[in-house]
Amino acid sequence: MVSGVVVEASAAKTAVGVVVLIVIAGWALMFAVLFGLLIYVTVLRGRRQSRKRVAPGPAVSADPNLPTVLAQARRADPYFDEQLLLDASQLICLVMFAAISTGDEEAIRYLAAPSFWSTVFGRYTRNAARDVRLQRIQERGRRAGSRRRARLPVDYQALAPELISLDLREQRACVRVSFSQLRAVVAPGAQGQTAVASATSLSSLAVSFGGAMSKQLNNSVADLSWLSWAGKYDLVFTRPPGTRTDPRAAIANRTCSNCGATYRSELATTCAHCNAERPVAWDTWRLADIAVVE
Amino acid sequence: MAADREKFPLPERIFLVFTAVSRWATSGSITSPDRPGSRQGCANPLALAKVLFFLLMILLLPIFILPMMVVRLLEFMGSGRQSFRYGSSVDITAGDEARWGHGILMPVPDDAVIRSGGMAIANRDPGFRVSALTDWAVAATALNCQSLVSGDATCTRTFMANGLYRAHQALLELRARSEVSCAGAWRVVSAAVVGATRSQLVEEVRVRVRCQGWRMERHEPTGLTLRGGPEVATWSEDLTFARSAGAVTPASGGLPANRCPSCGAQLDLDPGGACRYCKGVVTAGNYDWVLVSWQREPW
Repeated sequence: MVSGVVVEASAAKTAVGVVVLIVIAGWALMFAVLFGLLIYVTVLRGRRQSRKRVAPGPAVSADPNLPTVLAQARRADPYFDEQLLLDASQLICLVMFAAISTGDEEAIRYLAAPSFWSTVFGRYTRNAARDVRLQRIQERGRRAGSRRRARLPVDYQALAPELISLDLREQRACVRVSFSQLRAVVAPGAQGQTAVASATSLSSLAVSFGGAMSKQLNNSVADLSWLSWAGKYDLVFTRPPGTRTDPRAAIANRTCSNCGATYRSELATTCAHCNAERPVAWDTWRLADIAVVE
Repeated sequence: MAADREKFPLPERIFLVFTAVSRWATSGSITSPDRPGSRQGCANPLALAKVLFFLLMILLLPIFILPMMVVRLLEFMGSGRQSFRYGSSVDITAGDEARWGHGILMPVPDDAVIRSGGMAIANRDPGFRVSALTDWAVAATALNCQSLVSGDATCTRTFMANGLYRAHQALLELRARSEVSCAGAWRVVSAAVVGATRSQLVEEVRVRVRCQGWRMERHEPTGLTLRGGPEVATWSEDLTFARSAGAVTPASGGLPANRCPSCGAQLDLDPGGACRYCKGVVTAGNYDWVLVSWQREPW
């Protein structure tokens, strides 16, 4: 009996030891992953900025044969209108901003091809939107502090988009956009939080991270800070092979063909009255990829 | 879909379990202030149990967070080095640099460059008048002000290109959902052409307007002023008008004269930018100048 108790006690000790080991390994792994990623991205960002200061790279300019290509495209597809692609690119950049800042990715899902979600920007958009929704669930549980934390989409400005290339055989078009989006961050330690997102050196990363954490733990008064994402990107649109433009698509996008109601929201993907799916103004063209213009 | 009814992937759900449990553990008697005579704080056995439970949750934090982190890391690594390079290429700025770097206007080129661009447009279209566009920019700025303050883009339908109009309307919707409001009143004190270009596909004219007045953006739930204030200030805005390289100034005067550039009727457009008389979509830039870009100086 005594030996049984001793065995049980040593088994319990082993179990506790295993749990402690798992906990310690978990903490070590978590910090390794977190700081490894942060350090890698921060160092890369710093290197890129210093490289950009030394020698900004030239961007690939528009296809010089574009007028001829467009004329050929109109012969093959009489209702093809490149203006619709330019309109699409302006709205898509805005709905990406909506997804990243409010977590609402329904509109971008409706305008992007399924293959977009396996690209870098597709993954980035999906994860950023999901994080905002997770954060919203967390904030809902907090009582007094919940109104003092918000990420607000404040402004969005863009230059006129430019058609760079068109290949109707591949059913592929490329549109260059240049935009700047501004978000306000309202939270205790907001300045530290936003500084982490833009740190370009390990020291600045450490200082901002520490500052944000200490203010959050102290539950200080809400600060106001800003985040801006600006850049020049090439949006790649594709549509299924052999497709021709349906001239009714642009009109059908304004009024519900099922019940006749006017769509009041630019972010709506279904009719608010009858719930019927809203047709896309640029017919079957969908966003397939986004590339950074260096 | 409402965020609380959304079915997140398993790693995120594990993380949400941690959030829910730690929220329960920190709710009620732990965080409420003690009243005289009440059995709260560490004197309450339930509160003490909750404190111990919360400490245990903190200790086990990696078990709840690691699955989500590892899945995302693997997802990111799945697209190779490119994803890290792109991740660092996204130009995100923070704090004052973000606020005062957002919307910096492009530098003005030499007068000779602007004049030669204007001449290239006028040589092909004798009806082209710079003053018509600067006057229109003044009128458009008043309507832009109205749309920002009212939160409704409808008044800008007659001069904005379809893409810009839709993006502007969507931005106003986003701001309204986030309870960001704009108040203010301003007018244009001067306007000048600061850019004119002609390519094989499009013609573009950039007009810089100098505005005077006040404007203020607030976050309604917190009452926080985000930008601006009630003081009178002056600032610049760039309005870029564009049209197809084949378009010419309509005899009726077109959109700046409040006439349909396709049929010449009094301007009356549907929400899609089509004339209600001739059904031509006149805000696509094929018939006449339309506003394709609107930039505001940092404020």
